[in-house]
Amino acid sequence: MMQYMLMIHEDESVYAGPEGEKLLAETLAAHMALGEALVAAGVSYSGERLKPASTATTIRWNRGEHQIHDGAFSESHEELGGFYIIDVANLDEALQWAKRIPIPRGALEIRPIWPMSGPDA
Amino acid sequence: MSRGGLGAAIIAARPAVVAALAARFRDLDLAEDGFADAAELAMRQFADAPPPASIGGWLHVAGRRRIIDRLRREARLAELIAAQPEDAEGEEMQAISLFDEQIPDERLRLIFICCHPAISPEARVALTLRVVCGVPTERIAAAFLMATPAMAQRLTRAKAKIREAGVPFETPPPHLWAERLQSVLATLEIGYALAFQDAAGSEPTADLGPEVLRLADMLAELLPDDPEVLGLAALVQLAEARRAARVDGAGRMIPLSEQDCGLWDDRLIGSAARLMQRAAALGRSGPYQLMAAIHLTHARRKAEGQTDWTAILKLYDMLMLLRPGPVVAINRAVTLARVEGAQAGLAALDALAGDAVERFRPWHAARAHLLAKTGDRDGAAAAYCKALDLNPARAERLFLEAKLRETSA
Repeated sequence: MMQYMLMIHEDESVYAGPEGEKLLAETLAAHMALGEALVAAGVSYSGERLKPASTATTIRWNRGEHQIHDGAFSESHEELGGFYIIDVANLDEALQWAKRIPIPRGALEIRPIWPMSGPDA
Repeated sequence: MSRGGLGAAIIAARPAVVAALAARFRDLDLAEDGFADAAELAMRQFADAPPPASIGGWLHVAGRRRIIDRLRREARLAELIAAQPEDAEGEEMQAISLFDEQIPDERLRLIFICCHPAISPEARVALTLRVVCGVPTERIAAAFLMATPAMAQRLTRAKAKIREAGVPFETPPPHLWAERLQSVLATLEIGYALAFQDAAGSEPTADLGPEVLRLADMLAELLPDDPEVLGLAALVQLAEARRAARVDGAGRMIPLSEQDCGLWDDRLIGSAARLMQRAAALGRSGPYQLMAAIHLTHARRKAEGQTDWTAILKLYDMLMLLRPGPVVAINRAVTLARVEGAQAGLAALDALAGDAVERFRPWHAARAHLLAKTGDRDGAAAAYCKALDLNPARAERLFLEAKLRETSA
C-alpha cells in the first residue's frame, strides 16, 4: 500500500457572494459524500479543510535568518485550500479518488508520501 | 547460428523478455540491466555453439537469474527477494537451455507502464522506445534534437517517477482502460509524427521509423480487437511503406502527391489494407482509422494510376468533425483545391488566418503552393519566404528553396 496526499489548490474567490455561498454548500456536501464513499470502499483516509489564505502566515528562511510574513508563501490565485491523505495500492487508484474531489476552479496535486520505514527512509 | 543472426534473434526477443522481467521485479532498470546481462552472456555462450530452440526463453531465465543474483548481493533489496516466489534458480547457466519455459507475455503491461498519463508525453515516447524497443539513448536523443546526457536524464527522471509515484505494474482495470489506452495511442502518435512526417524526412528522425513500426505492429498484435489500435498500426505501416520515396537523392523532401509510387512497399500497403478491413469489421470508427484511410486512398495511386481526391476530401471532412485542428484543416484545404480548384483551396486557407497559423509553417507552405497554382508568383514567393523563416527541417527547407526558385524564375 502507498499513501498519497491529495492537495486541493483552488481559487477561493469563487466562493464569494451569494452565488458563491451556494457553491460552497454544494462543494462541502460533495466532500461529505466523498468521505462516505471512501469509508464504504474501505479506504483509510484523513483530510482537513484549511481556513482562507488570508489567515496564512509564512516564515521564510535565508542563510539561517528568518523573517515572518503575512500571507501564503506563493503569490498564486490558487491557494492550498485543503487536503486528503489516502492509503491505496497505486497511483491509478489515487487518481481515481482524486478525480472525485469537488473543485469548482483550480487544480489537484497528487504526491506520494515518503514512507516512515522502508528501503529509502 | 551466425553472429548477426544471433544478434537479430536477441533484439527480436527483447520486448517480451524485458516486459516479463519488469512485470516480475516491478522495476524498469532491473529489467533492462537483466536483459543486457543475459544478452551478453548469450553472445558469448552461443558464439560457437548451437543456440537453444527458444532464445527468448533462454534470455528470460538467464536475465531473471542475473537479477536475483544481483538482488541477493544488494542487501538493501532484501525485502524484494523475500517477496519472490521460491523456485529452482540455483542451476548452472549452461543447463538453462534444457528448460523449455514459456515467457509470460507481459509486453502490454510494459507498454501501459511506459505510456502512463502521469509521465509527460515526450518522456513517454522516449521511455517506450528505450525500454520496450531497446533503442539506444543516443538515437532517441538525436530524434528529439537533444544532447544525449539530457535525454538520459529525462529517461532516468521518468523511471524514477514510475518507481516513486507508485505507477502500477498491472494492466489497467476496465474502468480505466479507455483513458490509459488513449495515453498509449497518443504516445505512439507522437512517435509516428517524429519518425514519419513527410516534412521531417531528414536523417536523425527518419531512423526511428522501423522502431515505431515495430511498436505499432506489437500493439496491433496485443490488442487485435481495438479498431483504433489497428488504424494507427495501418497508418504507421503506410508511412513506412513510402520511406524510399520520401526524399530525393539530394535529401530534398518530395510531397506525397509527387512521389514515385514505384518505390512504395507493396507488402506494407497490403498489410495496412488488411488491418483496415479488420478495423472496419469491428464497427467503430475513429480518427486514427480516418487518417489511415486517407493514406490508404493515396496509396491506391500505385494500383489505380490516379488519386481519388473526392474520396480524400470526404475523409478530411469527417476527420474535421472528429478531431479538428490546424493540420487537418490545412490538409483539407489543399485537398479541396484538387477537387474544386486552387481558388477554393486558398479561400479555405485564408479562412483559417489568424495569430495561431501566422507562426505555423505548413499554413504558409500550403498558401504558397496554391498561390503559385493561381499564377500569383509574387504572393507565392512571399509565402515561401515566410515558410522558410519558420525553421523547416533540412529536407523541407531544400524543397521550399527549390519551389521559391521556381516561382522567382
